[in-house]
Amino acid sequence: MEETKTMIKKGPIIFSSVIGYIVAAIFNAILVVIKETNKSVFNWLKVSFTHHWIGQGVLVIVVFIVVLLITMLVYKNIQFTDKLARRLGYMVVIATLISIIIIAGFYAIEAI
Amino acid sequence: MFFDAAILVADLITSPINTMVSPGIEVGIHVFLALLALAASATLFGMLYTRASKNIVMIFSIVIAVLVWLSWFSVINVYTIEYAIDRTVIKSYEQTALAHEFGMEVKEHIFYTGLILATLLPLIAYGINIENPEGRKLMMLILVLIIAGGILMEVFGGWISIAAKQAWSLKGGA
Repeated sequence: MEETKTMIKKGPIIFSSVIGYIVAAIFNAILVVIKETNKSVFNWLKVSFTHHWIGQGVLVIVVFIVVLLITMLVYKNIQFTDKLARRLGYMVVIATLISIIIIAGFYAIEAI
Repeated sequence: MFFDAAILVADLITSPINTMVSPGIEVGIHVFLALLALAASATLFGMLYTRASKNIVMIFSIVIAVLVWLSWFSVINVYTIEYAIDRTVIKSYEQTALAHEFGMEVKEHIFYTGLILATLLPLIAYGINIENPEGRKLMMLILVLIIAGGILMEVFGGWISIAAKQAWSLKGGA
């Protein structure tokens, strides 16, 4: 049975936002490790954004927006299928779990 | 006598630790907004399950995203300025240090993953055909992650609050 080719009316928006989220979630986790192990990155965030935590948030948001826009430009004609929607769902779950595991794992190791 | 009082006032004004204010009721705004976002997420999950109209789904998605963003804005001052005094006390006791070193650090950093996840909702709600089961499932999956992450952060928040209370009691000699 042929899958629905036009299940999502505005395919590029949803596809790009999911890709943007995946990259931003992983970036968030990696930035935690980098800033906590590299004093110069930590200080740069602190000096540039008044607090390293605010800097982290701003950078994560910027990464999300930039990746979303680039992906929208590159995949502006993407057609969504049920299969792709399912795959995006799995990718969101995996990216979220990886992000949480890296952050929690890093601070667990640091706290021990 | 006069000079002693003047020195005391000057010390209160100039000493960073004395001018800092420990987190108060304003923390409740952050928690309240986050709880509203959780309640709205659970409601939207139910609406998607029962195939609510696209307009309702769109409105709830925007409301959830706005609530999570407001929850962030409302905690910036608390976490970056006011919490410093609690952090110092919590970290100074072995019994409570883990609440900050693991609980608070994890909570405040996974929050950004949740912030972007909540921002996804209105974008996906705008894009999907609400009649399609796979589109609805994708949104429901994101809502489950938001609810689970939100509960996890509430647990960490409770842990930190109790640790702060315990640390201040220890400092007071209790």
